[in-house]
Amino acid sequence: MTPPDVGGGPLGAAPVPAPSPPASPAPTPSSDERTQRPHPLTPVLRGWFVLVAIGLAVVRQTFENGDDNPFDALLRLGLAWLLLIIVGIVAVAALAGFVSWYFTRFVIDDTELRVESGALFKSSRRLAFERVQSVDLLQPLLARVFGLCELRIEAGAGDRPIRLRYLRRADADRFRTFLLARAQGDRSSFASTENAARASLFTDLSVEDQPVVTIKPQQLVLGFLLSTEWLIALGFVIIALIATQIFGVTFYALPGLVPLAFGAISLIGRRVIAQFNYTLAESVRGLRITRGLTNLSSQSVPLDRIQGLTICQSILWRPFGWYRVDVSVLGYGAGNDSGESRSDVSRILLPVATAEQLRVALARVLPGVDLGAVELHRSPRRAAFLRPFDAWTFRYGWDDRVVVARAGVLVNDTTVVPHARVQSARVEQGPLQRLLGLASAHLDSPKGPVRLVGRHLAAADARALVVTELDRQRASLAALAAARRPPEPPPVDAEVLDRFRLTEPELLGEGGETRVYALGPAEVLRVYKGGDPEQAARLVSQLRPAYDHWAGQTDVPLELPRILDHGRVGDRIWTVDRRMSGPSFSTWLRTAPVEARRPALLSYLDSAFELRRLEVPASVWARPFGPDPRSFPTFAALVHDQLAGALRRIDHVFFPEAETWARQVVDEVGERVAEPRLVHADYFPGNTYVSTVDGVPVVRGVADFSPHTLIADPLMDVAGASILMELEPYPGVVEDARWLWDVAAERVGADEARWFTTYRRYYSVYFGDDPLVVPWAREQLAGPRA
Amino acid sequence: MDELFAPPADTWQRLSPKYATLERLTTVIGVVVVFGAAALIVGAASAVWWISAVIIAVALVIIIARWIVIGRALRSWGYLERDEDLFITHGVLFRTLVAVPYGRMQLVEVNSGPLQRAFGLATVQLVTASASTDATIPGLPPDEAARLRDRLTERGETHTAGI
Repeated sequence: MTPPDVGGGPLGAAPVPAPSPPASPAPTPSSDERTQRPHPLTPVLRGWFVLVAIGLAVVRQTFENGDDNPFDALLRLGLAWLLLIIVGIVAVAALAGFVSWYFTRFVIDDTELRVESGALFKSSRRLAFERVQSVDLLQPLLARVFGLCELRIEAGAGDRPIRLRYLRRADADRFRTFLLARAQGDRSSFASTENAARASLFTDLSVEDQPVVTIKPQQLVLGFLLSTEWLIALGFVIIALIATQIFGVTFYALPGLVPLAFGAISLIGRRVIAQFNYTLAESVRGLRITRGLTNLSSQSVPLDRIQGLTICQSILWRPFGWYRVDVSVLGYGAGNDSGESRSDVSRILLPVATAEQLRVALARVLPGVDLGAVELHRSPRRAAFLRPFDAWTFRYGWDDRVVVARAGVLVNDTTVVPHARVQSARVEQGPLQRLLGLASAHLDSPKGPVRLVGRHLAAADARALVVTELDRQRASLAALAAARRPPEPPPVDAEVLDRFRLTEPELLGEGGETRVYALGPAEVLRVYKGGDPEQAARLVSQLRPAYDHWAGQTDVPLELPRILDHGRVGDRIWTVDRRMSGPSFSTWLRTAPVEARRPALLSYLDSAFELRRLEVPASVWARPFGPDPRSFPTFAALVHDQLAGALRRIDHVFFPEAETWARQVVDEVGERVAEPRLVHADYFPGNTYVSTVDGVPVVRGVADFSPHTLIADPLMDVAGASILMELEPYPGVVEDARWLWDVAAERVGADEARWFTTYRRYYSVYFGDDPLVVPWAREQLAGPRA
Repeated sequence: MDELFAPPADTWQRLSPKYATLERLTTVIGVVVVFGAAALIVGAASAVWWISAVIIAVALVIIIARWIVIGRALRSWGYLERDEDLFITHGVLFRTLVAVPYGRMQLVEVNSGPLQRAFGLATVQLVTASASTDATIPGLPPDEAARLRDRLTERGETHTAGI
């Protein structure tokens, strides 16, 4: 009952020289070979239905025992026999399961993954790492209960996937990380996966993964209830029920009704339960879709195997602007030789997505394709003779990457197939079409939900589409091949650097928005990264006068940035800034001697106190820089606005408590009494600079005023100095940060210091949109320091 | 041949006329077996002999119709090897023109059943990753079929594009 499905069974597998009998299940860490056994619970999980059968039999037995007429006694005798047979089957199955488990090994060595199995007929299935196409992680409910999961490794079209089941979740994570790394050519060792970021049990996302699209349960459920498929299925069931009720034949119609109801329920299963908690995430190793309420499945999206997609919108979704996206993936449509259908691999890329989510997902799946820009042509009006109800919806068009066809009234389908994936192109014309001078153009794709048909085009257009499609395909394939060649390092900011004749630019640093190059002993060139050049230009025009003004405040002992010149080359904004006199404090801390650190940290704290003396245009609560500079009536309103912006960017699956904490921070600062002063609000060692005064390192330079900067409670920077410092990577940073916190608290007095906790929460939420910061932020919130 | 299904260059390569003969023969055999048996049984088993006559008349009509259609179908078939793709057209009532890039061919099959062999014919079929690619050329002389297979295979190798 639990056949060893790894290895293809005893007959299909060629006997290989028997490996030495399994001696010890322990991995051999000495070589780079690692052996892993399936988890001991595997036979139980794979044969669970046997247990269910026993359970049922026992239940029936006990019920039968209650009665005492001769007929039942006879039945009981039969049942006893039956039970005996069942027990026999169970024993055999258990033995088979145990033997299969005992002889199964998953081996990773230098070049390949091996699955060895079979007691009598040894079989060994090998897969070279380079051939690994994708690694999916699946957790059926029962396995999930036991913390086990299955890894499914796809090895290219036509091949059966290799299934490793079942592994402990942590082992599976490591196997996956390792296999994906090796599949991409990284020669990492298995041991190095020890330190890889652990994935969450519920979302299978680790902190290194960036969620791109998450779909809220309410959206999923509402979308499902309004979907055409569900309404039709429901309608059938209801009509059937009513009709049979009227004729009083419901009982007799049950054999027909039950499958209908099952159909409807299985639709719920596929569209809601299987899609629950849907997350499309970008990981280091490519796109990954995680979903499932009971069964968790985490599926890689093999971008180069996607053959096309269909964006569907049923008519009831239109008011909401929702879409579903189905996808054809090579190898997923075809059943394989073991007769296993791939129904477990979902063909739904997005179950229900808003236009924005759709845009974001498509940008990842079909990078560089702008569907909105594809010019669509209508089928001629005379097509209405053949399709009176929907001919007016027929559209087709193409650009240099994809062909698009659209059709449908009740469900509007937009089919997208990249030229590079078209298998063949056809013109078809039937007799009626001939009379009307119409023809249909078909572009053939491998088996899957996507079928691209340009319906009822003018005959000449259909022929042109088909004949020229081959040329577009060649051009597209040539472009792909060119893109696959190892790219030359992109000339980053080349145009700007050219203008300054920097032939060998020295990159001094890189932040979220800018790159900084050395321009001379006293100047640096700052180039704003891509994005909106208007916004960058605006920020520069806000910062430059502020810096100029502060330069006049000679009594403030801070070294502040100056913008000496600014301009624009192409869509890049650049500024020439005064060069800070020393290295960044963050760099300095990494190599600084321990005894020099604390004095330097004191001066770093001093500078945080000095920032409040920088003059601002008006003493009002405000956000002075950035795309949306505004002032606010109260401090709480400002904080509320800042955090609301952060909450929009935060992924709430990752950081669910953010909202609660944000509310608490806003409540708390409502009681804060302070004068609005300049607050850098991103005051951490990376934004400060060390200079040497009389041989002593002193932190005086403060740079990178930004849209984070506020006119608010000056205590925020004092608190931030130690709070944000904890993210520095050097050893001993936690102790230093703690010490600095205490020093700062002592300086401001206990009354003021209690606000530090509030600001700790502020920073945690405010910077919590960065997945790298989230673990830190949650830690901050979880355990407020005594 | 109207413009929609005209060859993209040169002229279509045609099938061997023997293909029509083969098709006609199989039609005649098939119709004679099915209808003849029916006519015999009806004629022998009942008094209504005219039903047999009707059955035979229907059979004759079918044979004549098929005879004509097969002739037209033969003339509708055409294939053309171009530098990088193969075009095939066929169909009388429902017409098709299919273009298959060599780079997309996964394998080329040559089939020849016993009847086909007797007539000296073979069928070449191109297989791509898509099941809906309908690229079959029936009724080729064996030499031409072998030549086409070798040529397609060779071109497939030089144009392999992956999937």
